[in-house]
Amino acid sequence: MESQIIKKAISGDSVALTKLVDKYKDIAYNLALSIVKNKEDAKDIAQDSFLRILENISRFRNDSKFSTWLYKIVYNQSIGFVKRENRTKMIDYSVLVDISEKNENQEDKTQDLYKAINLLEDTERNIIMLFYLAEKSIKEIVQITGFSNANIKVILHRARKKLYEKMEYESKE
Amino acid sequence: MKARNDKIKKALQNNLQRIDDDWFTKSIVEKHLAEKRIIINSPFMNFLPMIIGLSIMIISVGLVLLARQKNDWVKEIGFTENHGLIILVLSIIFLIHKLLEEFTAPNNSSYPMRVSEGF
Repeated sequence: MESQIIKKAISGDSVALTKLVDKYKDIAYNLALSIVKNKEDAKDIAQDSFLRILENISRFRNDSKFSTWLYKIVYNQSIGFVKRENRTKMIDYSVLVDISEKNENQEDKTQDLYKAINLLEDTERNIIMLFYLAEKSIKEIVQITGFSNANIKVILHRARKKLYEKMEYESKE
Repeated sequence: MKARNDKIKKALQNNLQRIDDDWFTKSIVEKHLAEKRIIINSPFMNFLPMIIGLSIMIISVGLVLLARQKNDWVKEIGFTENHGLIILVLSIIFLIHKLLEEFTAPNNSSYPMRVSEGF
C-alpha cells in the first residue's frame, strides 16, 4: 500500500505526496521537538527533512521502511542543529509538556508519565519515542541513531526502569 | 510488563503534539513540485554533457580530416588519423550513453539510496 503511494509520489502526484507528509509529519515533528526543544525550530527541521527526502525519493529502495529513512534524516538534522546552536539541555516544560485545554478536562492520567518521559536524559527520551511512538524496532533505531544494538538495548532498559519506577510510585499513592 | 509498556505508549500518543499549521503539508508539497519543475524545465542540466560530447566529436572529425590532408600543424603535435578515430569513437560512445541515460532513467532510479546512506 505504502509502496504504491511512494511510486505515485515519485511521479509527482500531489495527492500521494500530501498523504505521505500527513502520515509522518507529527511524529517527525515530535522527534525533532524532543531534541531541539523549540517548536519553530522543530517545525523547520521537519519541513526541511521532508523536502530533502522528497527530493531524493526516486532513489529510495524498499529494503527499509520509508519512515525509518525519514526519522534518520530528522534525527541527524536535529542533532546537527543542536550542535550548531549549542543549545542548553535544560527541559522547558512550556514547550515539551504542552497540556492542551481538552486534556485538562479529561483527567488524563498519562500526563504525569509524559512528564516523567520528558525528565529522561535526551538520548533515553529519543529512543523511548522512537520505540513506543514511532513503533521502531531495535534494528531500525540502530539505523536511525547510529548507536550500536547493545547500546540501544541498555539505554532502553535504563529508561524503562525509570518509567516503571515512576508508575509503581504513582500506583502506591 | 505489557501493561506498563502500553501505558508508556499511551502517554506518548495522548500527548503527541500536532503541527498547528494547516499550510505545513501544502507548503512542502508545493515547494517540492516547484523544485521538480525547475529541474525538468532546465535544459542545460541535461544537455550540457551532450553539447560537450558533440563538440569533441566535431573536433575529432576535423582533426582526422587534417591528418588525412597531412597538415603540418597536426604532424608537429604527433597526431595521427588513428588518434582522431579513437577520440571520435569514444565521443560517440559517450553521446549514446548520455542519450540512453536521459531516456531510460528519468527519475535517476539507477541510483538506489539505502537508509544507511543518510545525508
